[in-house]
Amino acid sequence: MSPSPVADSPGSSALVVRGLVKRYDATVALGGVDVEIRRGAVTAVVGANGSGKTTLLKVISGLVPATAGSVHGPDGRAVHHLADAQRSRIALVPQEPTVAGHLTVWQNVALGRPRAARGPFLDDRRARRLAAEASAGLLPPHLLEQPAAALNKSSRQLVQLAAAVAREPAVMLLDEPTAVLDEDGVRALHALVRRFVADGGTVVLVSHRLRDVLDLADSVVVLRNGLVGHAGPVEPGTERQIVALLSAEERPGRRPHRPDPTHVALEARGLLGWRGLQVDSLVVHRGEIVGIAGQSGSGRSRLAAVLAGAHPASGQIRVDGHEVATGSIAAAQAAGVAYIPEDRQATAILANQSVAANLLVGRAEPRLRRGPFRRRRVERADAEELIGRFEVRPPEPDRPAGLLSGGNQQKLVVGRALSRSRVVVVADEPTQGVDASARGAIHAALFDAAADGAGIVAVCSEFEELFEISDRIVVLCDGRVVLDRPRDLLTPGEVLAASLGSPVPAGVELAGAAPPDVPLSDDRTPKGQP
Amino acid sequence: MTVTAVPPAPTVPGRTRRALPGGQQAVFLIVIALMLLGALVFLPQLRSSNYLMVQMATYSAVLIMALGQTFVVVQVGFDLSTGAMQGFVGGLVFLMVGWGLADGPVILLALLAAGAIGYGVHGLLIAKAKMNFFIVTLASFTILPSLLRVILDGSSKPVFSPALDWLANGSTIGIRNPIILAAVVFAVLWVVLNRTVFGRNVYAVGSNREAARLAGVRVDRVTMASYAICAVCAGIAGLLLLGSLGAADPSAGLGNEFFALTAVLLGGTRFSGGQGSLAGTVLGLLFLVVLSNILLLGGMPQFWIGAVQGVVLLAAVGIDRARRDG
Ligand SMILES: Nc1ncnc2c1ncn2[C@@H]1O[C@H](COP(=O)(O)OP(=O)(O)OP(=O)(O)O)[C@@H](O)[C@H]1O
Ligand SMILES: [Mg+2]
Repeated sequence: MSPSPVADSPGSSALVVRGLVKRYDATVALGGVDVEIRRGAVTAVVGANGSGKTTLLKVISGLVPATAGSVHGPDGRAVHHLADAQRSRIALVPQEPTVAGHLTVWQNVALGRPRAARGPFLDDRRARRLAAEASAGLLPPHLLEQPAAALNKSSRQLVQLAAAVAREPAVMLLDEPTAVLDEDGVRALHALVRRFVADGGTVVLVSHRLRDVLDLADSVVVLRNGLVGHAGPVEPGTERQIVALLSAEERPGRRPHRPDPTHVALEARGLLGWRGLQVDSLVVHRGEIVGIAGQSGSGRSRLAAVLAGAHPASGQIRVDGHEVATGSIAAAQAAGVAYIPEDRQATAILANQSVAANLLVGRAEPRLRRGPFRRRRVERADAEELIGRFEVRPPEPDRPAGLLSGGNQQKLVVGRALSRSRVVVVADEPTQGVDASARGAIHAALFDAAADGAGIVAVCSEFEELFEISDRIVVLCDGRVVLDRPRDLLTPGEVLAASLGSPVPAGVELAGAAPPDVPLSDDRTPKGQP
Repeated sequence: MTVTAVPPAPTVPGRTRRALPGGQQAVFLIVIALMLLGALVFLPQLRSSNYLMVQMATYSAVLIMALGQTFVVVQVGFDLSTGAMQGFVGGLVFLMVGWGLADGPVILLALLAAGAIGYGVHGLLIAKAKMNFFIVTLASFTILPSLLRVILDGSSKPVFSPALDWLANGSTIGIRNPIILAAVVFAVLWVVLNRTVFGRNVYAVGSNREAARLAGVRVDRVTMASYAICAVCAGIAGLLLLGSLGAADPSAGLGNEFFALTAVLLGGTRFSGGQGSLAGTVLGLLFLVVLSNILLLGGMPQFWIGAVQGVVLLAAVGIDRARRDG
């Protein structure tokens, strides 16, 4: 390729990508991508799961080598390796947060920063100061001293973000930074991005969340099957199409469900869990979807884990009227609790096993086995059905799951849990990282389960989705339930206020209230859509 | 420009051929076959079918041991004590034959004891007490030979057991019994690993233990059962060794654990877990045996064999690593 025109001038482009091809064996992840990323602006990269967004960012940041094509950094020099990207001050915050678990948060943030050392010697005081500066506004200061392994997924994402900031980058590449962030975290992130861009920085942001694109992006790149489908500014003229592209495609044929106030599917009393989880009472009726909101660290995921038996706790849990031993996942599953964990990399995906194995593992339906033996024909059909229903791409049952894109891995986790026979579904951020179409499919599957009479507990960071799927919303703050009300009697503002700990006006009937007697719409347009 | 101005989706991207794990094994098989063919041309001793048969029968015990070890390695772990167990079972048989028990119960009880140690000691301590597998099996690695010496009073003791003699030295329709036994063990374990829910759970636990647990796999039981299978296989290997020696020996079996493990790793099973196959283990052992025979018959001094095997292991694993990274 001829030397790029940007080679000698800073120009208006921070990144110039020409003819970029990335092949993994026979998979073409990028099929010839040409884009220019404007300096001092936010460019959103959107597209379906598996369209090549993560791959594009990985190649730009030198993490994986390109098969063909070129990338030029903000200094006009070509980027081939990680070292080039570091020299050009390109920092990546990856989709799956990877931190050194045995190090503290401040050590993670300051890791490898020359400023945090005195020659070959460590300088903890400087490192701490650097970490505090970089994480200001992102992480509460007390978190800095904690071991990173103790953090939940959203905090780890913020640690990675702080670590990227500590590198004083010229270009920040953010891969789905908001996938599991709570409302507060999203605001902090948006503020950080705005500040960074105002100071002349360049941001490339991958997201499936409409709000990120509309609020932040100056221009948008749409990827389709490894090619650029569209690239251009975000303007009033294009906004509508972006909305259409990123809004959950709710299925028209979604089965309506109606909470049955006479049947309790799940009842928890006096739960005392680790790190201050204290839930006096939570009731989920059959056919009801209860959305759990709250800030990260408020105990949402802890509550979900305890309800699913994944973590020990004291207290009483009843499923369908029968008491279930707490802290025993086997007992919970035997009683009919299906669980979608929050952190798919660490606790849900079998990366070196096939897609089919990931969809089948741990499921105990009698139809899948004959005594100790697998019924492979049934298994195969089941896996293929789930791949189709949840839109796993590529639709190959034998592909190792670790080679799928992040969103497609999430579909495996959801498909596995929602296909077991269940009385209760505990879903922790079920649609994280999933594209608009698959989000609709997952919503439909949750509605389906509810229509079949299951009680559903869904932890949901995104308000739009929370209000879309929930019949009732429960807000946690500091490990306690601070609000429990039918959705139709709530506004996003009230939920946010409650999750931040402000007292909620006891407007209508509170905790344990019967579900609203309004027909449950299953065709509501998502809020925020014009 | 508008968002709708999108070219039609290309058909190629996103689709793949799947990389067959079997492809690697086919290559391995071809390498072994070529080695054997070459050896048959240049080394006349090999051409006697009896020589090959004796070799295969000799290594059947180690093969069975390696097959059991494969379960443990796939679910992440390693049983350091399989060689020690092989010898120890000889001591148990010596004891029970001394008590005047019939051969059938002797064999059954000996294997039961081995399985109990694998399940109730190794498995329990590793899975439930969360002790490191290396430490637990290292303890057995020192305890079992010591107990064996106590049982045998420090010296080799002749043991006469017609059933074991038949098993280790007899033939059926012209094939040595140890070879048949190894084939039967292989078939049974293959079905367990590839056709049962338990087998898939072994892979799942090795791939991501916590994910398997949350998905509903009883991970502790899987680990314990894997160590039991491994110990029983070592026990069977012990019966074969006893039968072929005609005696229980205080140092029997020691060192075999590493030979067996080398075969497992050469066969493509990874220490990181979740990957590996019994067929690979068979090929790994076959390769080692063919290689050392060629070297020995070709005139290389015996002392060098271990060095060559070690280098081969490093090379094989290194090539595998490079292939995956590149
Ligand atoms: N290491 C790999 N080996 C083989 N194929 C891969 C590998 N990594 C990604 N792929 C494939 O490349 C394609 C693009 O993946 P990529 O992760 O870039 O998607 P994405 O746009 O980030 O999707 P998502 O929204 O789900 O995160 C997918 O088809 C994926 O299966
Ligand atoms: Mg991605």
